[in-house]
Amino acid sequence: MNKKILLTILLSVQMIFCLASEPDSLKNVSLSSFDLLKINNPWLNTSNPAGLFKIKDVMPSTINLGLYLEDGDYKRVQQGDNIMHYRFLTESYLNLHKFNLFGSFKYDKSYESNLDYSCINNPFRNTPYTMIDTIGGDKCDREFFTVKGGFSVPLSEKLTLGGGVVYNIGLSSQDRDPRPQNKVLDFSVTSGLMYSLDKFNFGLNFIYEYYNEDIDVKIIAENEYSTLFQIHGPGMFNYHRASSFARLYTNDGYGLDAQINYDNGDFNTLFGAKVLFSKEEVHDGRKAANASWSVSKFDSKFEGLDVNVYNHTTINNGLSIHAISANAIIKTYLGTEIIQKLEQVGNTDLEQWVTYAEEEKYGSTHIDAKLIYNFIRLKNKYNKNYGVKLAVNYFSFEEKYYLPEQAQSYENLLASIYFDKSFYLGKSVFSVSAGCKYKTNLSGKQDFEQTNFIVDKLLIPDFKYLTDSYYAPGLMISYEKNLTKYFDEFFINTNVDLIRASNDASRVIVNFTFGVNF
Amino acid sequence: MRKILIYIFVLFILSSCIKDPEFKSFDVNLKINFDNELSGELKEGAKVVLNNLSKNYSLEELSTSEGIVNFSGIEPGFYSATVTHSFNSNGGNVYINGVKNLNIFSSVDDTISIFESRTNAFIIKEFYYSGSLTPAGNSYSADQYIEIYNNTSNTQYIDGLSIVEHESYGTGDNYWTFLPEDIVVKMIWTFPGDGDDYPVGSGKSVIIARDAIDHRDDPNGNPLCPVNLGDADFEFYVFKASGDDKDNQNSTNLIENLFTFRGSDVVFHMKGGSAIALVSLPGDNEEERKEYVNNNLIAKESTLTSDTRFFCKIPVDNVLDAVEVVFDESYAIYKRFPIQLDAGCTYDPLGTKSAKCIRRKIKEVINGRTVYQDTNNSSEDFLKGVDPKPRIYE
Repeated sequence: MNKKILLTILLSVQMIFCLASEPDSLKNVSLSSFDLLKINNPWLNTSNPAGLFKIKDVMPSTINLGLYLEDGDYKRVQQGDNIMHYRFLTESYLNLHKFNLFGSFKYDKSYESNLDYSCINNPFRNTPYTMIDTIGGDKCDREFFTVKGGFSVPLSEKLTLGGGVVYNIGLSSQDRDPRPQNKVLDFSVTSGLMYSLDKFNFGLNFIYEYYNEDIDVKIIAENEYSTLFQIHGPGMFNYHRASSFARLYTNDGYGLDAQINYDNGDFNTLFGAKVLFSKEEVHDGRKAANASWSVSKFDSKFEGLDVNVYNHTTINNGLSIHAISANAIIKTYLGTEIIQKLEQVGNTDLEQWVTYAEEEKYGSTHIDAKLIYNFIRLKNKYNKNYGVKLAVNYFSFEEKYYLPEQAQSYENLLASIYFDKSFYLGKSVFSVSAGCKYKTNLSGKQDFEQTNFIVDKLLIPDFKYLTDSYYAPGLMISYEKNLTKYFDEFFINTNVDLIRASNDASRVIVNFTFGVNF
Repeated sequence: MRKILIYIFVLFILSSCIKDPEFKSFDVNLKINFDNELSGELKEGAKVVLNNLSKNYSLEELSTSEGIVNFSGIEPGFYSATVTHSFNSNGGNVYINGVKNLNIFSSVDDTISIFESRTNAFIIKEFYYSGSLTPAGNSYSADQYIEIYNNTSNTQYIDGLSIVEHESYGTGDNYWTFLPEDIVVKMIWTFPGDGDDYPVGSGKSVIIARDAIDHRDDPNGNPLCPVNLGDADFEFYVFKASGDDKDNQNSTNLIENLFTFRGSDVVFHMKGGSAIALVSLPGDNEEERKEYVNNNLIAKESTLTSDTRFFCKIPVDNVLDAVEVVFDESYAIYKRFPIQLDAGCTYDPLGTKSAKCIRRKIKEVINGRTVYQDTNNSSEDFLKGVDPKPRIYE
């Protein structure tokens, strides 16, 4: 114990000493290194880990702590009034012999206050098969750990192999009956190849994803029952009253991402197309003592196809960089209900859920198209001077439940412009970024054959949120100070965004981060 | 440009991999089994409600003069079809009820049997079972009560009638379907009297309290209780040497004829599930009624222990009024009372400790006398989750 305290004190003293000392010159690693890395290496915007091979220059790392705060009444119905995250992040790119490596670890502790109509960890996960209760004002406590890793290694002069993994695991729980405890596991693994031929590079990687959410709803008060609603589509639900309940989501996704890249040094462009199939199953029931899900009701299955076509182009003229990113994501989903009844099967008194039919009842389409132009003027090869970023985002959503007919759709356009400027004062850097986002609704329609309290309390107010116009001015201020030992710099970064909607609702988002880069 | 076109082509090819939902829908043609001698005019307009038992919606259609109802575009699933109808015949009201469970996984042509129901002098006007919450957050159920109302224009005598509770809470299939002409009960409490001792005036009621005290002011009560039952006419009093159940001397005790799960007091399920009825047991006096009970006990083995429990079967014809209370709509499939007694079911949607009750709807007020609706279909006849109002007829 004494050794740990001594080490902590020594490190703290060393840190202060480093802060007080005058470094010799601007370091190659700065806050903007991570942005520049992805702009100069379009492969890092793909899912192909073989693209790590293309990092030729600075390999930045960071260790930082962050605080994220969101507060206000402009929110979705199933979102809390107040959300607070405490984060620790360490992320590093590294060259080791022939290997280029990437690794990151994130710890995220968050609290979401005054949460209504949600029993699942993330009610905005595109699936209609959610679960809610009507006891509002919950506080959700979440704790998540995320580990990411990737490598690339050249197999020959022309061929490079890459591999990557993302492992996200966490727990969320609510503090009021009925109180769900959600254990979430989100895992993906990919392996890819890159083939280089003169100025052309061709890439292909395979992806496997797995998502698992195990929900255990408890009611602590004795002899209490709560009504739990299993949603099947807009305004469609089953419900029952129980003193406990359990649900399991399992989602398998698999697909591939193909890329083609032309890079002559000044002009670097990459086209890619990613296709991902997914299949999610939802099982309900009370867990047996051994936590087995073998006897449970098969509620639904949800199949999806996610297609992403993208291009990242960078024109590098020495100290000026023009970067253009364009991508279009189309997601289509098909929801199937499993109609089951609990019946006695065979000569024994054992009851089992007997499947009578599988009915395709739900379909949805999401289109998300973005065009981003980013101009960066550098002070030197590694540090930004000023820049401007323009973005346009078109989003459309359409979902329909068949029999009874329940449908809603909308289209939004989001535009944003941001300017940033860095001021080099001796060996310190102050950076300021300011800009504004504007969202406007292009169309929107709700058409429900059946209305009920879910439609009144959830769908109509949520649709209003989704189709409301807003503007959101944002300001970012950061301070970087060069260090002489161990790390390249210490930084503090603050972002503030104020969203003001057309209905006078507003929301403030504050993001504060400090740490070291090296 | 060529590359872009290739990518757009690939995108569209892949987007077509997810197909639109291929959903099924069916036609449901139902024929109401009316008496052949009934005129087409009287057959027309019977309301048929097709209720999806899994989902929270229902569809309604009215019958044609042939007594036929057609539903189209019905999604697959488990349904109940309920018929309710009324008309004047020979100067009196005739109520028609019918119910049938349907598994719709193809087009259905079916017939629904119906029952003409009787209306009786005494009806169950109000049933308060949910209990209330104490300031300390505990549940309180001693304030449960039943209110019986004289729905006629004449004074009626309640002597010798009995309040019964069905054997089951309706959480599973009815065990007693092999006795279609009887109901099987676990509790029988009889009003004392020789036939002219306990009159109930026209448009008046009697309260049968679990504990006849002013629950709001009594030291053993609950200040958050919605009712004062200190002046209840009758009381369920369970005599035990331990004296757990307090006896209000101002309230007449019902006679305990059967109490299979005999505890320290009568307790109705606070969540719902107690299907109760007002019956006239065979027998002209208390001795004969007791003899009837003893001669009509029926055994059922406990599913939890090796014990065998004894219940009493009572002919459907002896039931004057019945209300099937369930936990919630999802338990409607576990029907216990025959549809000629109660074609539907009811419940308090606010659930346990809500301090709310179920109360019969008012049909009309004749010269200041309230007449309550009694179509023998509690789904139609009862208001759900309303404030208890004993002896208030509005």
